[in-house]
Amino acid sequence: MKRSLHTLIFTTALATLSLNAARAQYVEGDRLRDHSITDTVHRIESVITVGRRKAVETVPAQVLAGQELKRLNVVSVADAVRYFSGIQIKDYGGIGGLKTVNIRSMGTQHVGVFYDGVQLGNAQNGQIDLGRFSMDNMEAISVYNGQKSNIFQSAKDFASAGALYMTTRRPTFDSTKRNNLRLSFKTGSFGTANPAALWEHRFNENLDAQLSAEYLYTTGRYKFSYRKLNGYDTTEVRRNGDVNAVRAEGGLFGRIKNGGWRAKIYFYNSERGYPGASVREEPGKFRHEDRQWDRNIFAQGSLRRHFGKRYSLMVNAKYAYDFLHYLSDPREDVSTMYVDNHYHQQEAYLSLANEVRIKDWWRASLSADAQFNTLTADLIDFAYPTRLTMLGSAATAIDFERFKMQASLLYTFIHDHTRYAGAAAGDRDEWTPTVIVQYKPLRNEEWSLRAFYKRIFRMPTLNDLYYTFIGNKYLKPEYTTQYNVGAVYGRNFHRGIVRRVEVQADTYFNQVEDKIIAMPTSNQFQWTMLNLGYVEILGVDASAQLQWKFGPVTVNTRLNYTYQEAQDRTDPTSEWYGGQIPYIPWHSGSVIVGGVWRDWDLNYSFIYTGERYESRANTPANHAQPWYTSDMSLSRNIRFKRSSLRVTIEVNNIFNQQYEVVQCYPMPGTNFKVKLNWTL
Amino acid sequence: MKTFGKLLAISLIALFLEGCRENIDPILPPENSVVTYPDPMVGDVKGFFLLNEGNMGSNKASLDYFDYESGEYSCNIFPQRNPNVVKELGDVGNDLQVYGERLYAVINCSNLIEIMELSTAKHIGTVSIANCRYITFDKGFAYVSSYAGPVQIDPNARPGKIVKIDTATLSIVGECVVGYQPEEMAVVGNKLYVANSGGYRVPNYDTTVSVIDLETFTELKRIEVAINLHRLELDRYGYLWVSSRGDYNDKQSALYAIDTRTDEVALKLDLPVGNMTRCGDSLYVYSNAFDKQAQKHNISYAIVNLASREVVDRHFIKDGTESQIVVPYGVAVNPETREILVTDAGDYVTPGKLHCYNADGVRQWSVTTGDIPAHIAFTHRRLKPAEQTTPGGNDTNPYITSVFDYRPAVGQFVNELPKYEAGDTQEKMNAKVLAAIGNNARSQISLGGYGGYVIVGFDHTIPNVSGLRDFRVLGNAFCNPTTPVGGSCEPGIIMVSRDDNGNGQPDDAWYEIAGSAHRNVKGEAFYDIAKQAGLDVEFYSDYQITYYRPTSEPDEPTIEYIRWTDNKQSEGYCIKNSTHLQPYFPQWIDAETLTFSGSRLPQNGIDTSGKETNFVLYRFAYGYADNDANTNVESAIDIDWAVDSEGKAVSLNGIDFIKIYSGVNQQNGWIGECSTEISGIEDLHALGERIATR
Repeated sequence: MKRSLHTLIFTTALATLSLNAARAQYVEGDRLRDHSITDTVHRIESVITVGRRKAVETVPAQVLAGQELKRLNVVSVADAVRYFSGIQIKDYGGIGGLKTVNIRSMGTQHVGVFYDGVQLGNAQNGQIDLGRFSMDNMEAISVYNGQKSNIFQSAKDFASAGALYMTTRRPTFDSTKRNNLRLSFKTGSFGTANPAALWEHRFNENLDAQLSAEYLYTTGRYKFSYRKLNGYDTTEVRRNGDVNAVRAEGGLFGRIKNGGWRAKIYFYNSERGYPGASVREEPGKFRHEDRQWDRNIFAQGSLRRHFGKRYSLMVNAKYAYDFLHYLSDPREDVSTMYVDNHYHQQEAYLSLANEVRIKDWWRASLSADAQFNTLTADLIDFAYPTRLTMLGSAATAIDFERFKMQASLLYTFIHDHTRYAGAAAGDRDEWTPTVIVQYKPLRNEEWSLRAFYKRIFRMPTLNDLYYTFIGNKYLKPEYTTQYNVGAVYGRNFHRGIVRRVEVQADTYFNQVEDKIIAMPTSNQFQWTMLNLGYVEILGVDASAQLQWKFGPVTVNTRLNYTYQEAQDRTDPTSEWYGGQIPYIPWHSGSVIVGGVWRDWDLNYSFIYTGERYESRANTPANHAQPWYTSDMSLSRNIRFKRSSLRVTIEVNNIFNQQYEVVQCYPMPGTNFKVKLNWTL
Repeated sequence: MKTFGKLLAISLIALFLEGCRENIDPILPPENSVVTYPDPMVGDVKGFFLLNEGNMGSNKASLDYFDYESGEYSCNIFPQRNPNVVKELGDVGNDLQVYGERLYAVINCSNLIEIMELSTAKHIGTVSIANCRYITFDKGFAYVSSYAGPVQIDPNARPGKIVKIDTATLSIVGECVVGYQPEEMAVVGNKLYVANSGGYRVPNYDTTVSVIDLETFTELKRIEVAINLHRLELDRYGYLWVSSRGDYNDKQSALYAIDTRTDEVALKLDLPVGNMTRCGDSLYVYSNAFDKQAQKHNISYAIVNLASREVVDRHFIKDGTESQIVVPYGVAVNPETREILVTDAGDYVTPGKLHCYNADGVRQWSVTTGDIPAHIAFTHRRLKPAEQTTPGGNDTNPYITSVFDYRPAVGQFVNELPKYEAGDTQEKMNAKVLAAIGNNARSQISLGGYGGYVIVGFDHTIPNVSGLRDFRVLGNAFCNPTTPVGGSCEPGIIMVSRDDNGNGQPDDAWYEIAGSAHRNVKGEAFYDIAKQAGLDVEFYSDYQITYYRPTSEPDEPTIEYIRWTDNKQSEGYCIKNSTHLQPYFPQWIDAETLTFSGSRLPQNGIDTSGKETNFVLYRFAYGYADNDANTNVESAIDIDWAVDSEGKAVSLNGIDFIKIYSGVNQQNGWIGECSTEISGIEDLHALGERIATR
């Protein structure tokens, strides 16, 4: 406690010196990102949630970071994001199943996913599988509605309807140490083995390095049941859900005068099976043997420097190569069609961001990004598209003690090219604005009101436009408009059981226009993409965090609740007009209760997803029951002379609830995990 | 710490209990709706089954049934009749055929054929065949096309096969390798023709029809036709019509005819084909090409005359309603009535539609189906009602168990529903009524015009549960989502009685269920337009009518057929129409006049066309029999709505008898008099249904 208080004061002092002092402190995640380059002493990891004092985000933001994140029973980033309000995860089940995030029901492709400050791209289908991002190295996960309320950022940070930021660990050293070594091993249900190693080295005051690697193997097997009242009752085993994955990352973290830089290389290689939809079949006769191989490599760098008191510059650059091989082979599974496709994507990205401090209370920024994507595939009549995206943003921010405002305007220009003339979609250019305001009614209370408006679009993905047969080059961008008003309240207590209360609530109205949806043409096997959809989303996100102290026991609780009415309003003559869109529950929520006593940590988490429908036709046949799972973990830190060992045991889905997030993709019942984490 | 621990434990336990769900999903019952007028004189084709494909990977193939006799459409009948079949019908229904007394459904992505009993739709067995597509029959054997022939060294060059099944044993007795990705088949004499598509080998489609000798079950030859073949229909002249899907790009879909005597292509018609079906000498074809630039479907509905072998009609839907079809997906023609059925798959991920057109192409009715309605098989067996188990396991029968009296007024279905046979007495007619509407038989009876009634009883007292509706009267009303809601609503007034003297007879005080018009006739949604149309919109609580037996029984349509007079200085005639020429006066009743009295509802039938082609019978808000579809909430009644003869609410803890009488006195042109039809009564509590009252 003493130490963290010390660090708190220290980092707070640092923060006030820094450029974004006022808005950077809501949570550690943001602080990490905004200051990690300039901070000279890196103690951020040890800043725990206790007793922090912070300014408030001007847009709705949620963060899981530090110990709170570590205590959760989560395998991947996707599992952690489930604890945020306003978020839906589409989960095809098991460790290997696709997991994508949807913010406020606007659709997966409207979510920008950023890894250490640079966006992860998937020009092919616009969705990022969050199940692939390990928690092993993760320091903070944050979600922003609209955009991060920061104007000194790349144009891409302005360019999506909602954003998820993953921030990985940054080397930190105790004063005398020059090396950190951490070895960990996880094992448990589904035949999982997951060793990982991390090594950090300090070359000198101005240069640190980090290497980490991880291997994951799982058979992906688990039992699941389908039952009907007064009807059938069957228990089966999920097969062909195995995953074999390697992740390796290397990073350099440097400091220069008035700034800092970092460079990172990321490598991920995996092979996995597709267990497929669980549908009626003669039991055990056919074996699903579809397989997929992925290789993702990217290198990215970032440099930030201040010039004088008024001007700052940030440069981000990235190159990414993604390879995907899908094989469905009738020699393995007689019922299947032969498919053997290889996709290669490349992305090059460069961004320049400039900020000028005009007055102490007034700043302005200009950013310019350029991105180049290519996609090749061994499909018949493939278009071989390339895409050039240019983004420019102009933003300004006004900060008074009780009133803050930001306005930004984003310009996007997109040019596609295909190997065959006439196959490419026409050029696009779009202007999209955002306005954010915050008002603090009382000078000495942590109480503020906020509102934002944002209009943004997503481009049709390369698959939407050019996938053989299905693609449609006449597609228009899919637009979203968001209106949000909310309030934040926080208060510390110096005595009693409750030590801090923090509540935020936002209500919002979103419109998704020209929604790009897959529509059949003449039969089940011939689909095409169309701009045919209009969705209105009315929602409330509320969350509360409470800190308690019972003698030596510190308890953190976190409650989230979401209400959403996400209605398809495409065709007023349709029988299903106004139906809740698929997989969006009206009610959902989560509870996390974490207690710390000396070297012991006990964590309980609960997730609730209310009733929902699997189709916008809200009929009994499409009705999905609510599900809710309880997870629990207990861990202990054992200190040795020069090292410490952390032992964790986890039980997930304690009540063995049988449920599906996606129709016909059953989720695992009760499962266990043991984690050993040895820090040298 | 301890107290906190307890607190935590208690709150967590509370949380679990609070959130406890009914963990087990129920078996979904079918959704029934009466979609058209019943046809009591149905011929050999009693109904049809419709197989909905369900989107791939959603395990949502489902089976619907339409019954001509009752005009009732039942959506998703399989689970209720087969609760123990794991994962219902399966994933992607691709073909449906009737053979003998069995119904065969080919479930493509479940890799199996589901075989059901035709009269019950109960599971008999399955035959598992990888990637099975279509089924056809000959001499006790079923032939199933399958994409999954023997695997080759080149996985791309895997041929398809035809699997031969002995329908007596449901065992596979032979396989014959054919071309790539075989689709439909046709038996011609002793040969089986198979359309090969090659759909997995884009752009190297197959172009042939395989010919198999059924004696030896070996492939004799392949006839070169065109790329991507799909449908097959054999005509009476020995020509086999084959559709080519084209390549969905430059090569257009077209229709070919093979002369099966020479096995050569005799003819090509530049008619794109999505699906086709033959009836007599007409081949009904729809085509559906998608234009990406315009983002719309180009659809046509054509008829090919198989005698002249030319397109004789490009628009077999004649009333302009084809624009309401988004994606035509299935087509069938009733061989007796020549009614045309066209399904609409819509957006494939929500329930589709089925439209029925008469032989002249004028739409008769439409209904919502399962997802991707596709394959229709007519049946010569009427589907039996599902056996119902009484929820809760007690011994009460939720349905009518006795009929005390049945006195219809005059009407076009009187002496037909139920059928009067010479010599039938009142007792005999009561027994026929019980057979029709008792014990969940769900057939129907007609009460004729105003005043005609039926009195029924139960084997237990139907309790009056506070806040809930207590019983449902099943009729044949159906409604369209018009404003105000209307369709075919022929309201009957409901009366209830309690066996106060305990003698088991309905000789106690009767109380009338005061429906919406009893309370505020001007509040009915159709009131204004009915008044404008010049209808008699009065509500009377003291109405009396007398019908006079006709002096002679005409055997042709007659306007001045049966005279009636009432106590409101009105009189008129019940018309004999051309479709029902039997006597309309109940034949087992000797009296010269029939007199009925009670409340009378306002007239609700309006000729919206103005030329007597479209009568809409509007719905009353609530509280009447045969006034809303059986599947809708307003078919259910709350005993708390009962009033005494002075209109005051009465409090009954339960009831033992129900009387229903036709409530409207109106002739609606060619569709005849407004007559309440009843097909049963259900005790909602005995069935475990909870429907909140108004």
